Formats: sequence, C-alpha cells, structure tokens
Amino acid sequence: MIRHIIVFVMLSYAATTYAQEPILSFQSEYAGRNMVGAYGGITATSSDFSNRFVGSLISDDQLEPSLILDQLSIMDADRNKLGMDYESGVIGSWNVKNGPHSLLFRASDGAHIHFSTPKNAMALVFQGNKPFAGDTLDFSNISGLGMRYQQLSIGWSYNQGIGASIWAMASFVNGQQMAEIDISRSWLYTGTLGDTLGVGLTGTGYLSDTSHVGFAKPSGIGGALDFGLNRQFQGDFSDWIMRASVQNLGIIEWSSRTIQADVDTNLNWYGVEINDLLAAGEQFEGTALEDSLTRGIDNSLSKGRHYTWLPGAAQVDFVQLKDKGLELGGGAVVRWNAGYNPFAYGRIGYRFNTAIALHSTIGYGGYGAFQMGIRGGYVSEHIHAGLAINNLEALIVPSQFAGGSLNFHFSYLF
Amino acid sequence: MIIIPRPLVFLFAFVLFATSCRRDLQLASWNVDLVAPIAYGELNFSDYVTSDNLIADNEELIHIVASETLVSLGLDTLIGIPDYSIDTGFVIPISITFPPGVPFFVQKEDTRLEVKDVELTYGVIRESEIEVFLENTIDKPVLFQYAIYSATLNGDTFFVEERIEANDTMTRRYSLEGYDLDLRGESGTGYNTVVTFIQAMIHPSETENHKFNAGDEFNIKNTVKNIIPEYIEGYFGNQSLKFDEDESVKVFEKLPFKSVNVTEYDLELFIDNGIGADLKLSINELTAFNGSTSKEVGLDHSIIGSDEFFTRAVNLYDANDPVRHVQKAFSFTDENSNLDKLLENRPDRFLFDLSIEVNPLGNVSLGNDFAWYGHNLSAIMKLDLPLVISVKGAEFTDTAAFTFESGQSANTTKRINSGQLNLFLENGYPFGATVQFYLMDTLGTVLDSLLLVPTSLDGALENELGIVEESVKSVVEIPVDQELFSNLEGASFLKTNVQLNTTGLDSIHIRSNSQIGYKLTADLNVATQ
Repeated sequence: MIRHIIVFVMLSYAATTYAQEPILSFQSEYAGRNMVGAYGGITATSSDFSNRFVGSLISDDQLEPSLILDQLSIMDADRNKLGMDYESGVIGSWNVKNGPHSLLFRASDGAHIHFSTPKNAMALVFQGNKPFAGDTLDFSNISGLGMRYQQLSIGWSYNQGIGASIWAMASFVNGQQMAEIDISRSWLYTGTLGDTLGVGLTGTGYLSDTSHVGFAKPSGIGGALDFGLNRQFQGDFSDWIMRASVQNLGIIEWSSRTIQADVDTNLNWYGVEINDLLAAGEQFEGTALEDSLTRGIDNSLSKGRHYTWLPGAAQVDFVQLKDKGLELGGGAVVRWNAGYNPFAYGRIGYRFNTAIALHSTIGYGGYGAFQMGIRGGYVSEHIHAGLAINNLEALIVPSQFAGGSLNFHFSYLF
Repeated sequence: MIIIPRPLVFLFAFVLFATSCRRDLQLASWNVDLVAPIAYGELNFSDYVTSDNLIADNEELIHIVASETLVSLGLDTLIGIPDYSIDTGFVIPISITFPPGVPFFVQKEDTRLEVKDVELTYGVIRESEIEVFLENTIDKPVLFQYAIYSATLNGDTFFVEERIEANDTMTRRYSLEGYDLDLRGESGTGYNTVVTFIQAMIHPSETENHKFNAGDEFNIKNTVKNIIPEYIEGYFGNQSLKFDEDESVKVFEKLPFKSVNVTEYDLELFIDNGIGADLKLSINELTAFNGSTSKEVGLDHSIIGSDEFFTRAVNLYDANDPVRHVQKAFSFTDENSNLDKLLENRPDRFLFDLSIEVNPLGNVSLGNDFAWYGHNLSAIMKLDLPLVISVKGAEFTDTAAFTFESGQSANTTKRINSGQLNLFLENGYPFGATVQFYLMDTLGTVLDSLLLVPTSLDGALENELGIVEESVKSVVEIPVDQELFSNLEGASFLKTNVQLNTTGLDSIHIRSNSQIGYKLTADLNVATQ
C-alpha cells in the first residue's frame, strides 16, 4: 500500500514536470503524513523558432544572415509561437488527525510569456523592408502576453481510498507585472523606389503600472482555483492511475493605472516636402513619420482597469503502476489565455525498483510540434525528489526547434 | 545641415521594440536593409529670384523686370536751403526812461539766406518751424513783437507777440507750414532775402515808467529749421552736379547660376525731368559690377561720354498736377550696346559716373526757374529680361555652412554599414546639369565629394515652339558609409557645383510652369546596434 502511494506521488510529480505540461500544479497526496517541499522549473518551447537562432540572438554579438534565412525558412506564414513558463514555490501538506483529510499550503512565484507572430513580421524585423520594396507586407495577427504574479494558496484534499482522492485549492494572486498586445491588422507598404512608406495598424495593448515595479509589488490582484481528482483502476497487466485537474482557473484585475492603447490608424509617408531648398532645415522639423506615429499612438493611450485570465490549464493523465519494469503512460493538456495548442503526450520508462525510475516523454502540440523529455525520480521513506529535462528535440536538432526545460522538486515527509 | 533620415529611426525603433522584451537581455546585432523616403518636392526657378522682379507673360515665359533709380535730383539737391538764424542783441547805451507801451527797440531788416548759387524769388514752405529765443535782463516785464514780413499765410503776415517776465528768458517754436515766402526783400527786386521786424517795449500793463541804465542788455535769436519747400521759384543758377556712386541691384543675387548667355532683353534708360530748368546730362561711365567675382563690365553705348540736353518741365500751377514732366528714353539693344555683357555678368551693383549741368544756357527763363516738391530729375534704368537664355557651360556654385548633428543621431549613423542616398529627379527644364557636392573644412579645404564622379542630369527637350512637353528622369546616387559620416563631422561647408547645359537649341525658355520634381530616398544596410 505504502509502495503504491509512493509510486503515485512520484508519478504525480513527474506529471508536473513534463514538457509543455503545466508546471504550476499541486497534485500530491500524502495520505496520513505531513510534508514540506520546494519545487521550481522553467520551460520554453517553440517549434517555429530554432535554438540555434534564439541562442545566437541572445548570446552572440552578431547574428549571421544565414541563421536568419534558416530561421525564416522553418517558419509558418501565419502563426509562429513561442511560450515560456516559470514557477517556483514552497509547498506543504498537513494531515488532519491521521485521517483522510489533509490541508494543503502553497506559496509560489510564477511568470508566463507567450507570443505569436506571422513570418512576415520576423522577416521585416530581421531583414528590413528593402526586400519588400514595391509590395505591401502584411504582418497582421501579432499577439502576445507576459505576466508575473505570486500566489498564496490554501487547500484541502480528501483521500477516498486506495488511489482515489479529490483535492482543491484557492489562491490569492498578486499581479506584479503584465504586458499584453494584440495587433489584428498591420501592414507596411514600401514603394519600389523607396519613395513611399505606408503603415496600417489596428490593435490593442495593455501595460501594467510602470511606476510601481519590483518583485511582488502589486499592480493587480486576483484569485484562482485549482482542483482535481485521482482514480486508480485495474488494467490487464497492472494498475493505472488516472489523474484529472484544473489549474489556475482565475483572473487578475490590474489597477486603474494600467496603460491601455487602442490604435487604428493608416499613414502614408513620402518624406518631408521641401519646395524651398533654402529653408530645408525648417521644413524637416516635426514632420517625420515617427512623429506622426507617436502622435497617433499618444492619442490612443488611456489608463484604466484591465482584467486578465490567468494562463490556466486542464489536464488528464494516465500512469501505469508497477514495482519494477517497463511503465507506460500518457495524457493531454489544454490551456486558456496562453496561446497554446492542445498538447498530447505519451510516456514510457523503466522502474528499477520502488525508489528509482527513469521515464521519457514524447508529445505533440502546445507551443511547438514534436517534443520529447526525460526525467528521473527518487523516493525514500522521507525524501521525494525529481529532476526533469525536457524539449530535448531542441538540443538534438537546434536548427529546427527551440526551447528547453528544467524542473525539479524536493519534498520531505514526516 | 544634414538630417538623418527619420524614417530609418522609425524602422530602427520597430526592430528594437520587437526584439527587446527584456531590457536587461543584450541581443545580438544584425544587419537589415532599409529603404525609406527622406524628402520630396518640386523646385521652381522662380523660387530663387526675388518675386517682385519676376513676372510671367501669357505664355508662362518668365521675365525678370526691374526698375532701378540711378539718380534722383530734387529740391534739396538743387537749392538746399539750410537752417538759418537771426541773432539780434542790443545794449542800452545811456540811462534813459521809457513809459510802458512805448517801444524802446525797433528793428526792420533784410536777411539773406545762405543758399547755393541760385537766385530765389518766391517759395512755398511745405514743412519748417521757427524757434524764437527771448531774453529780458531788466526788472520789468517786456513785450516783444516779431514778424516775418516775407512770410504770409492766406494774406496774414507771420507775427508773434510774447510777454517776457522780468529777468527771464523764453523759447517758443512756431510752424511755418504752408507759408508763402516772398524772397525779394524789402525792395521787391532782390532775391534770397526775407524781411523781418522786431519791436520791444515795457509791457503796457505796467503802470510805472522804467529807467534803463546804460549797459542793460536784450537778446533775441530766431532760428528757422528744417526747411522743406513745397515750391520754389527763381533762377537756379548755372550749377554743375557730379554723381559718382554705385547702386546695388537685387535682381540677380539669387539667380542660380554664375553666368548666363542672355539672348533677348529690353532695357532703357529713362530720364524724367520734373524740374523747371534746362538741364544737360552727361553719362561718363556705367559699369555692371559682380561683387562675388569682382568682375566689371562697362557699358558701351552712344550715350556714354555724350551730352544730352533736356528742356525744362512746364509749370501748370495746379497743386494737384503741378508739373508736366519732360521725358526721354534711351534704348539699349544688342546692336547699339554691349548691355548683354553687363547682364551676363550678374551684377550686384551698377557703378556710374554722371554729371548734370543746370541752366547750361544761363538765365534764359529770366528768373522763372521752378521746382515742385516730389518732382525731380530722375534717371531710371528699366529692365525687361525674358528668360530666353543659353546656359551652356554656365556654372552654379554655392557654398553653405552646415553642422552635422552627430550628437543626437550618433547611434543611428554608426549603425549604417553601407548604402546610398538616391535622388530621383524629374526635370521639366530644358537644361541639363552636371553636379557634384564637396565637403569642405573651415579653411575651404575639400575633404570629400559626395558623388564618386560628377553626375550628369538630363534636361528636357523643347519643341519648335520652345515648350517642354515631357520631363526627363535622372537618378543621382550618393554613396553612404562611415567614412562619409566621419568627413561630415569634420566638415563645415557644403559646396555645390552645378554645370548647366541647355539642351537642343542654343537658347531655351524658362517658364513659370516648369519645375524639377525630386524624391530623395535612403537605401541603407544598417546594424541594429
């Protein structure tokens, strides 16, 4: 029985750290025991960007043109995603009177970034507008969200029997920082001779209070719910655990000092009109394109409250339970307000004994396409630990994929 | 002043914004190819010439018209009546007693005006004033009476009467505007003479006699100032006036070329005599001087060195239309003069040496010479220059000071790897040009040229009617690299050199509806940081 519980705990943690699965969940149950622990992880994923490109962009002095061309060659015309999640925290579980009920605690710091851009926007940024002279470059549908927040959570779990439990947590969310952009229409026309620039822009943007920044400084407040259930059932060759959860179902209200931009403008630029060369200097003043754009954007700026759904997730996971030998599993994840495609994965691994297991994961979806990861877990009487490295595909084929993930957890049971 | 193309800054901003989600993340630099417009416009020849001097005829042909007054000889030059003063002081020689109201000093005298060698008999004062200073040194008030018998207004003689308190002085001013002046003196046969009258007495309001002591003193000073006659009559003498001056002309100072072959022009020297005296005009020299080249071209015409006689204007005695002028015009053509050479010199000054002799035949009017205010002897040069010109080989050079704003835009300019500025021209004028731009330091040393070689721009062709039907396109490519910016930072002047060449026919027509359209664009390879 204890062994089953230990295996379940380990696999639950494993699930929290697999590639592209939410890393913020609290899924553990410690029937009849108390626990304190810490966890953390960061994951970044994209199959539309390459690690070689991103790595050079953030670490080299000069980005080679060939890398840019390679990057553009693998991009989708309309949507190219990149997502990143980070969370670290401390957790605790207190068993009430050695019974089926436990109280759950959590304090965490998290961040989420995702954006989606068409290929043309990247081409404009990394190649300039000259390749598109004589044409209208449409780079509409740029969207992105970034936020940093902290959570204080308290919850409850009820152990209904072997492998069967339900749990729920309520969180107070401190919104530290947020930036959101959604450009539905954007285009740039460049004249054949370079004598005309036309710009069209329709979109909205939000930026949390810029005068009040720093770790845990509140720019917004909100709440969230996490809940789930676990059920053990018997298969042909072994038992399985099914786990279903909803995480970060919540919202943040950003303060009234949130900057909002609502832009809908079209501009044409032919240069400064100078019909008197003797007064050319005077005619240059205040007539540049960026002045017009700035005026247009300034006129669209306002401040006010803004509500943002937390980038939450719903997940279902199946895990095979064995004492030793080959183990299988799989699951699926959907997320909201995260720019995230549904993600499905399968896992296979080997359990060496009741304490040590090594699993690999192969998945598809989320912010990328094909993804794979590996993790190891250790379980003893008082120590539970796990370490996962994901998005191995980006390490193996850096010219085609981008990303990297590292997650860990450590718990002490008493 | 060189301006960094601002659209490039915008594109930079877009690039950097899109790549700087984290400010503490130092991204790699990469190179992008940017094209953007900088400036555009339409240049019209007429913008560079003083607009008052340009007119377009019915066929849109531009004419340079000018009217420069070389000489204006008026009353002040001919007569020149100066300010004058009459000082009257007297001392009581012996002790004597006078009752109140009985003049103890009476003086009537002729005063001769200090004017040129003229004999004026009559005049009307347009503007002047008389200042009277009175000094009383006795211990009783004195009544002074002062009159100018020669000055009458509507039949009344100019007369003032002032009470001067005991041991006091007084200064008063009176206007003489509109007074007629009879300058023939008390005899009625003289000239340049005014008759004045002064009388002083113990003020009649006093009740006691006054005993003057020997040595008591009285002073009266009358000053007539700023005399501007409205009309003057008499004999103006046989004067010789010499004018050796230069007259600046603004017509050509903005013409965008150093030399031009003028093929058509209409110029006349217009002499307008509004003075009632015979005159003899002698033009000894008329030279067109170009200050920038220090080149001067003298006029070669029959008028130079010869005497021209002008009969007197006719006095109509009508204040609204008082004079019928005598006018005479001298026409200058390419057949009777070398005036085209003067105009092609782009003069900014005309130097002239001329003399005028008044009444060369003496007093043939028997003292009836006259002059009205505003009716002068004028020598006016009137120019009508239709711009039908040949500028083949003509050169336009302009040097302008500038400061390269490297401070604010240094980050931008340093990121420019290479490229060029493209100047797209659409020339509607029937002349082409070869252009080059030079960067020079403060000493005038050429640091660099903006173009690799002087670049030729095509000119449009005129049809048989002298009309351009289609503009001609050209492109000037200005290479841009870091060496250029370095030279820009070290340069203080931009010298523009343009060699103009008319196309097709020898002479082309400059029309007001012609223009040069241009678009300046940047085509640059730029590093993001």
